[in-house]
Amino acid sequence: MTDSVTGGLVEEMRASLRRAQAVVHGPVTPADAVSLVVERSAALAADASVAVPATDDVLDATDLLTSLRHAGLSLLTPDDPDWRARLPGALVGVTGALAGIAESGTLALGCGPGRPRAVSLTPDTHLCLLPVERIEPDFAAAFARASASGLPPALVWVSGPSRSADIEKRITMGVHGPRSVEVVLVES
Amino acid sequence: MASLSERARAAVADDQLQEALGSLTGVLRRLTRAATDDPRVAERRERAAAVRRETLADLPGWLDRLERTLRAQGTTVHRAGTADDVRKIVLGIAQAEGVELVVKGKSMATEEVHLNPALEAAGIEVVETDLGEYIVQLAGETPSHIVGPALHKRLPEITALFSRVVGRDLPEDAEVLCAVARQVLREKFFSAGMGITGANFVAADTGTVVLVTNEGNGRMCSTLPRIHVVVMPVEKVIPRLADIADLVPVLTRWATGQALTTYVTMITGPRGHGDVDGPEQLHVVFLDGGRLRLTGTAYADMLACIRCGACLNVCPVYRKIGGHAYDAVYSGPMGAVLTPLLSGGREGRDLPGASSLCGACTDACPVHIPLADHLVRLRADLRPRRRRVVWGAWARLWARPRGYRGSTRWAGRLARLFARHRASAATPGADGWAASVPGAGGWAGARDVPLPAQEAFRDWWVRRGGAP
Repeated sequence: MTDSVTGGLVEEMRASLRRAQAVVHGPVTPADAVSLVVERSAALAADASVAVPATDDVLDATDLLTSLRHAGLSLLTPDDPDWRARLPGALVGVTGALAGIAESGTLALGCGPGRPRAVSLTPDTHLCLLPVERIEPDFAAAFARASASGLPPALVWVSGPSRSADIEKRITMGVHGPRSVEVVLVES
Repeated sequence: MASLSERARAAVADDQLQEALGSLTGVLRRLTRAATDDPRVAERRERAAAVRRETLADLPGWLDRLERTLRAQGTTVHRAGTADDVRKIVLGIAQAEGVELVVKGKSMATEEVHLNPALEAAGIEVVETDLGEYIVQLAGETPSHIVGPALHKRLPEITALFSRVVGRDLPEDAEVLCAVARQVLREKFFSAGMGITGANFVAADTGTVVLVTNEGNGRMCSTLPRIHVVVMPVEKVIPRLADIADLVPVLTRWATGQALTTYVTMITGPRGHGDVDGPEQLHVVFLDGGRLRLTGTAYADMLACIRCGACLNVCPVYRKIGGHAYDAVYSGPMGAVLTPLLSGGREGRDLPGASSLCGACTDACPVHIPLADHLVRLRADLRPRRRRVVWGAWARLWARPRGYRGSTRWAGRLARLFARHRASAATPGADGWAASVPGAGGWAGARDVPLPAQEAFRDWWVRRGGAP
């Protein structure tokens, strides 16, 4: 894929994410992405904890969890024996994405062992890192990418924050899932 | 029980309902219309329609394949022939596992089988967690729209309902009410022993349950409780999970105008080794409920329906009377077709009459179900015996030249009797019209009816010296 094609998809992704009411950062270098996530987590979680997966290829590639720990943040990892009890206290959830859909501003999240489903669900804010080379034009291409190395036990497609239009068709945000979704686009 | 026309009359006279319908379905209709402008969307629509028909061509075969895939991954499969079977199966699981609290995602299938009363009668607390369903549950009502269950509710009523729950007066503010629901329902999600959802699609090749939501109630119900039960009407099976790339964007475009809803959740099997969340037990209940016997009939493609609600939003009848006047779980054109079909003609026999046959539903249907044709066919198939005898006699009479000639001659003479009931003088050419026709009922009540000529054409022709 040429740079100009990737550039076009990144621009479309940014526009679609905004339309889906997500906050968009970047594209930034992997190092800048780490400092950005640390900064946002500290600001949003304050004294509360940050839910993270035990393993996630995007997070692992940048050693993000170590940086979060060094910043003094309290991390909630799935190997914590009190994981479930501590879950309601996590105000921020950080994950990587398997793929992105430029057309709709959608993130593909793989959940399974080491990557709990609730990390991107119960916290008020979901911070998600999406490497730009994983952005695909449509659902069909993104599905092929996200399931290329096997279908995860739960594959969740997220387009912006939780919302409802059940009260007189007025859009209200944050019914059950995150009230806010922030996406950090990461350069390769 | 009140007839359809009585229920419709009451709905039209309900100012609050008319206000809600007027402003709300208009929004949905505009969204639906905008969806069809994108060429990518148009291509997906055709592929989605083709996939639905591919499934229906061998529904039992795809179900068998799905059952094998689900079992292989550790999911428990139950086959339910009737609504009663579903209630017994789900109650059985809940009682065996000692479940006291059930959280539910938005599901029309569980409405169809009246699951909540069955669980509640056994002392189990059932909480609807889709905001619209929650509002409807608090009000002790049923959904009035398959996509927007509380479409008929206005803000002041909703505020009163929520104020009752928290025991203090809340402001009439959708944001505040939403935050209250989040807080109340969040506790329920964490303490519930069972989550029950429907399924938008279930893929036979991977055994994956697909849930499409905006709020996240489907994700919550399938993530936090120890047991997840999926009530899946049999036609929800699709051959391949990859087909979702066409089916889901089409569903969301036609349902709410969104490119995709906020969440599309693909669940493959129960919690695995090393998982800390997701259900320990995953049950999928196949609901037949009168569906399988439709395969191979003229109505089979009704099972292609993906429940987007577009036909409701464009229907001039639904837009005027709302969902409750149909007095059925499914309303609007799809409900008017599905209700009598699923019940084998026992329920909703008058519903195919709730249509102007304008064809807007057929045009709006993303998977090309000829809803207006089905409504006409059902009117014929479900017509009362008395009417069948009358029309049958007429058909036999006009099948013979002598019968035809005689009847037109008599019709001309009888018409003179109606001349006394002539239309008002304001109507131009009122001489040839009758304002009412005995026996024609309401049909002639709102129309002037043209009278047959006093002299039949054949008689006139012969009188003028023409060959008979």
